[in-house]
Amino acid sequence: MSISGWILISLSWGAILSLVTFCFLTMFRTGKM
Amino acid sequence: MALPSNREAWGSRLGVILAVAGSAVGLGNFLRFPVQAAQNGGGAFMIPYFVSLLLLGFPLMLIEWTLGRYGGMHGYGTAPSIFAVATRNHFLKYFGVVGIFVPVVVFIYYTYVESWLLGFAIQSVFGALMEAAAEGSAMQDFLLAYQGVTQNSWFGSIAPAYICFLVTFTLNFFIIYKGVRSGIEIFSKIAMPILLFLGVIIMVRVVTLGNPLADHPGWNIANGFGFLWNPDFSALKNSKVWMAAAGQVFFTLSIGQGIILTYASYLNRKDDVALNGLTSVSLNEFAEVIIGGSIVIPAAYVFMGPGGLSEVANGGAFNLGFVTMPQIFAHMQFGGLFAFLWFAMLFIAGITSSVSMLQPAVAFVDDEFRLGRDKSVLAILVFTFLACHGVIFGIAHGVMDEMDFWGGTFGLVLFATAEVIIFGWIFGIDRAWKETHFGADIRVPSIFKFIIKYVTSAFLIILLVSWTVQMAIPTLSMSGVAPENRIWVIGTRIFLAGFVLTLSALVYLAWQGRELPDVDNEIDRELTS
Repeated sequence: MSISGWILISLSWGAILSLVTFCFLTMFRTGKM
Repeated sequence: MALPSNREAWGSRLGVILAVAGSAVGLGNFLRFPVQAAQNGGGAFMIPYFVSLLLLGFPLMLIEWTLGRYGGMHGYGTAPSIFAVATRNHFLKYFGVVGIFVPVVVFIYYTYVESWLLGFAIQSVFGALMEAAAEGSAMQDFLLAYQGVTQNSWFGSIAPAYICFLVTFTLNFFIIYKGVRSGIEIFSKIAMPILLFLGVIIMVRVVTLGNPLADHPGWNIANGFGFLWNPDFSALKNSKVWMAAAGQVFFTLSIGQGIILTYASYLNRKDDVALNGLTSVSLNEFAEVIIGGSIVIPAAYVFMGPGGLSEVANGGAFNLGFVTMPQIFAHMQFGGLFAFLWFAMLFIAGITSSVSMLQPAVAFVDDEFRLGRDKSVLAILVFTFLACHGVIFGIAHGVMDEMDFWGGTFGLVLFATAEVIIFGWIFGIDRAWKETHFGADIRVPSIFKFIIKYVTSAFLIILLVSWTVQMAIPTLSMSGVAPENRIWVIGTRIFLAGFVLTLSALVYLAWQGRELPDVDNEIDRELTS
């Protein structure tokens, strides 16, 4: 895989995992599950 | 304000999020997405994909969650009446008919495809699937004989496929019959973790394949990921790549079908819709980009190389899942077990989606005609059961393709265009924004008001015009349909047109003598104050 491929997969996976984490953390913080 | 007492409600927040995510996560996440990405610029595809997610996917998700909860507060759970109360316009409710038509039509063929997954899961452990897969080219014959299109030593009739269809169909209706909280919610809470767990197991197996064919050192897993992710930035100049990305976002999120409207109508007034919408999008993207992008393309690459993979990818996502993947598993140790896990995962992904397709129709009959859940489920069961037989016995004549185009492709963009215009322009973006943030746990950046009103609307209109010109007109003129199949295609169209007219007549009957709610009601006062 090329360096640009590694950069794109890292950015995409990073963005999605951050979004999932943000959503569930916010939900836990509100205490409404 | 509490829900109208005759309507059901979700039992928990996690339940409704998993139900919506379950509806969104389907076969497209694991089969369609990687093929689209590989064919449209590889890693560069992710740029229009994420842009479409931001400008089309997330806004439409917000719109459906918001309008759905608003409709539920007025006692309605389906698009025709939600459109009527949101716009205070009797005529616009007929656009909402598409929001019942689409999920029912898709259910009619999707359930049959879903039943093949059950059949293939069973065949991979107890049947001859792995034997056919090991022979390579025999796998296509195996699939055709299973579908009843041909007969051979593996299948002499359609009976095994039909039995699996009956089991799948019954399971769908059993879940729906149990209701929103005791059926859909409980099933989603069990099925979604299993689905994600199976996906991660298969993904880990693929990622650890290394370089299984030693005489082809370049056919390794890193290059397999490279096939999907190495960007070809020149593809970004091609409008077809942008259309493909927008189409993929549409199909993957279950938007434009009326399903999320109905699911959200079972929320309470103070339940959040903004964070719930975002969470369901994020779960779908996890399943699609991270799991879906790490299975079929890298696995096919290490066993077939770039040439073989390009060939099968051009044959379409469907063959990749049903024909190529078993061939790949046949090369692996414990291949039968992994084939079983693969088809079981897809079956679960399918059933969480197909169940959601039934709910709008059941809610329509129940809400509008007060038949009660039992009779509403029975009415939809009889109708869909009979209609499914047209697909089962007409599959070789293009019946499924015709339904897939009008129901599963064109209908989506038509309905979504109506939704965004109603939300942003008729309901009014300022009122809509207040409604979205009522009880919300996050604030959506205000830029999305502008995006929804102008960008998403324009994006959808462009998509609608482009699909009409590129696909609807050629489909309508039956170009490419074999002469002997034309009668089947015409029959399917008569059925679909009849179904739209019947739904419109039912909407008319349901609203006979019914008044639109007074503008000065408790819910709407909150939005104008």
